[in-house]
Amino acid sequence: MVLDSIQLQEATESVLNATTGNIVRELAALPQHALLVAQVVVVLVVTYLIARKISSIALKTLSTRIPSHIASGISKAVFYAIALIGLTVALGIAGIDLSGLVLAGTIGGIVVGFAAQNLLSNFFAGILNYFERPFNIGDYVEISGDIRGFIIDIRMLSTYIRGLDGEIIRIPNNTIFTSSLINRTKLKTRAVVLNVGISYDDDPNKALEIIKSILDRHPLVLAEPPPILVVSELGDSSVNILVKAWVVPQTYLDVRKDLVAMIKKELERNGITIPFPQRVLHFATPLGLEDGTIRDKP
Amino acid sequence: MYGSIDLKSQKTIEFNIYDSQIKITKVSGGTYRYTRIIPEDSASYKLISYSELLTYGARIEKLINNADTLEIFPDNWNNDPRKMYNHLMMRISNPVMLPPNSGGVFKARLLPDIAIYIKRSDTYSLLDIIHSPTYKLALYGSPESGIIARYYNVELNSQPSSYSGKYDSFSINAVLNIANQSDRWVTVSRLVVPIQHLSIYMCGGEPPAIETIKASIRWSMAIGKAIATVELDNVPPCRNYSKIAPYAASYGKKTTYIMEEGL
Repeated sequence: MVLDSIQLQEATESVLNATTGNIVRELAALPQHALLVAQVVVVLVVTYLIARKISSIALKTLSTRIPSHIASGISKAVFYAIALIGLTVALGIAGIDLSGLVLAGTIGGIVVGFAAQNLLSNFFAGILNYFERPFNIGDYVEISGDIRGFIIDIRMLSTYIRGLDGEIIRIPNNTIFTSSLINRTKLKTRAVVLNVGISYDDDPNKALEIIKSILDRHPLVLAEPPPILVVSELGDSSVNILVKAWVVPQTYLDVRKDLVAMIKKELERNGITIPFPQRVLHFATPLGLEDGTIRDKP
Repeated sequence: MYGSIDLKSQKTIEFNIYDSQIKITKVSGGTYRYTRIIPEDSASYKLISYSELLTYGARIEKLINNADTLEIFPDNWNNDPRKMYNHLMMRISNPVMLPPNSGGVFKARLLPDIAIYIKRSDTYSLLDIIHSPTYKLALYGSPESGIIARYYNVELNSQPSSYSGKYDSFSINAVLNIANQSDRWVTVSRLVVPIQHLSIYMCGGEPPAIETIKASIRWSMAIGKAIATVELDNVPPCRNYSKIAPYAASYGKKTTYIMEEGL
């Protein structure tokens, strides 16, 4: 019994000594921990302030040069990039092993990258479209040959077009970046191209004179560069005249409408025929024509 | 003809400017109805957009309230509602050849757009613009970087020639002071004039005139051709001149244009 009691006392003393030692050691290390925590907090706060300041400067600088939505996106990206650097530094100071996080981050990044591939490609295409400037708001464009309309909004991921029938078309920026695009309003002039067919019995020079006088009289057909007017083709049913008149792009439809109507009216008024397609048929056996009427053969 | 119309003196006033028929009718008290009918075969008709034509037709109608006088002036090209240009291009049908370090003063006639203003005490407000029957536009330079200009085909003379057209009474003079400062012969076949702040003067019994246009020509070794700096000289082009009141605010500040695409 006495032996047991001595052993218990010794064991208790040993436990007490160990605990006390730990507490003392911990208490001795307390200022060091506090310093570490303080360092981490300072790093996080300073990083936050720096990130906020730099992203604000980026927003202010970029807003005057690029569309506000892209400027805002870039400024947020700058903020999070600086914040991430600060967090990494803070975790390093705290003594947390980052190798696991880096690995997880890499794998996560790959997964997110795959998942957000389209989003990212549209975002970067939006930025590239902005710097390349293939169009501005209000421009009339044709994309891939089948989408036509006026640019009404350029956003971070997509561009909006008002189609010719009044519909709103949303096109991902990446589609625009990788497609062929015709901007009809970027240049100062646009050509109204018409093919006018006249009868083989009519004088093409007379037709050319009439059309030239129409082009000269029309106030919105540019005097310079001069219109192009040539007999371009001997067609199946008509002698074709190519008319190319230069106009200011915003007047294109009005001028085209006028020229078609004026040319038809003036050619007809001057006795020049605009023929419709005709086909001459030869029959192997003669048709039984009587007084211009086809009769069934007996 | 240019001048004033006293609205109070008559119940109905009818007149023509170019090919437009204008009618002003007293409705009641100090209210008048202004009507302009634009003929289908006129240049002005072609300048009406399709949507405007569908909405309003070829007829301009406005009610004028509390007005005393209408003033008819040549327009200084800054009021064209289509706002497609800021320059005039004068294509010279008889190009001028100038020896090295020489110059000359030349005169041209052109048909301007005509502005009708309502005058109320000392204030002017634009009522209508009647486009010239010679309305044309042209591109100076390349389609990528050039400019769209209002186009006039003019003949230069040392003395103002009479405008032998149907609308002679509306024609105005342009005085061009061209100086060849280069050491080569140059041929001038066109001039591009900036029209912001352009002034037009009434010249007593003579036709109104644009302020003097000054073109200084030099040789550009870089592009191998003659280029000109064209500016409005703010010099009255006639002796008995008077300023046109609505354009008075434009006097003073002038723009220059460098014709880098040649003459």
